[in-house]
Amino acid sequence: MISIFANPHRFMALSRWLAPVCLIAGVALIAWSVWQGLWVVPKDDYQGGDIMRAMFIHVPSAWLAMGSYLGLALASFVWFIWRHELADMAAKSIAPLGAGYTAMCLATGSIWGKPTWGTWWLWDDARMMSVLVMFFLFLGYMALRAAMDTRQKAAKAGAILAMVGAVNVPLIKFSVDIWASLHQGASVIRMDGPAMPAVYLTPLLIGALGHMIFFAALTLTLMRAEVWQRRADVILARKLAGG
Amino acid sequence: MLPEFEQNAAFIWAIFAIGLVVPALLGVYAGLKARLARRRLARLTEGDLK
Repeated sequence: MISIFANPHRFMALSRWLAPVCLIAGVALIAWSVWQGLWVVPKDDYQGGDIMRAMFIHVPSAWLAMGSYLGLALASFVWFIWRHELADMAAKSIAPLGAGYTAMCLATGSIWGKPTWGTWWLWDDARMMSVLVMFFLFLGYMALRAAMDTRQKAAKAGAILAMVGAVNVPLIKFSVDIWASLHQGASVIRMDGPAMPAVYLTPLLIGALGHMIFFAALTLTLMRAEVWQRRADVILARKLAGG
Repeated sequence: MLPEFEQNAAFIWAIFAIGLVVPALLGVYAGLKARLARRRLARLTEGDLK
């Protein structure tokens, strides 16, 4: 089953139309969510007034940061076990996008923190530090791959780092429950359901869906670039070998 | 017409600016990378045909 979808020719045919469709759908949903967040939803005085609008950017970026790391670890696992090259391409493509979304999560969280908690950053806060560690894991993954002299070595070293680093994701999720943190507890992904009125929850979830679809579009685009790059490398190697 | 906020307007605008600029930059990065890779492949296969 997995080999049917892991065929590069099928992938290129599928992603050719899927990437632009996802891009348009993602941008449209994000735009709707931003419009709701800035112009439509009322401010919530219980959550600090207008500054709570930050959640329409910060929360999707935090979910995407964690989700993309899980995607990186899963793709690395699939490559490690089955050696499907598309899985390695997926992992390589996810890393810079995940790093970008994690940086966005850290920056927006820090800016939100200043008026809410009175500080930009706390070095002993478990949530902030575990997300920062994830950011460095993304950077480390890319640096490690770049440092290897062959593609196989890069894939193997990267996959091991990505899989080991996955232990950080549940730590991020439960850090606010395990350790004392300035960060509030979960208000959407909870065992007893979301603790948020629909007027905020709906645009938040739609915005998060938009970012996910947008992320998928960019991942597919980078994977297509990687397929072209590898094809070009093979042609170049053949030319050089043939004199 | 831009919305007006009673408090923390600069923080809110900064957060939304980052929320739009970062995904846009990632989109430009992915688009450029795909374009360059496709061009390189096209150049190499063109050479094959000649």
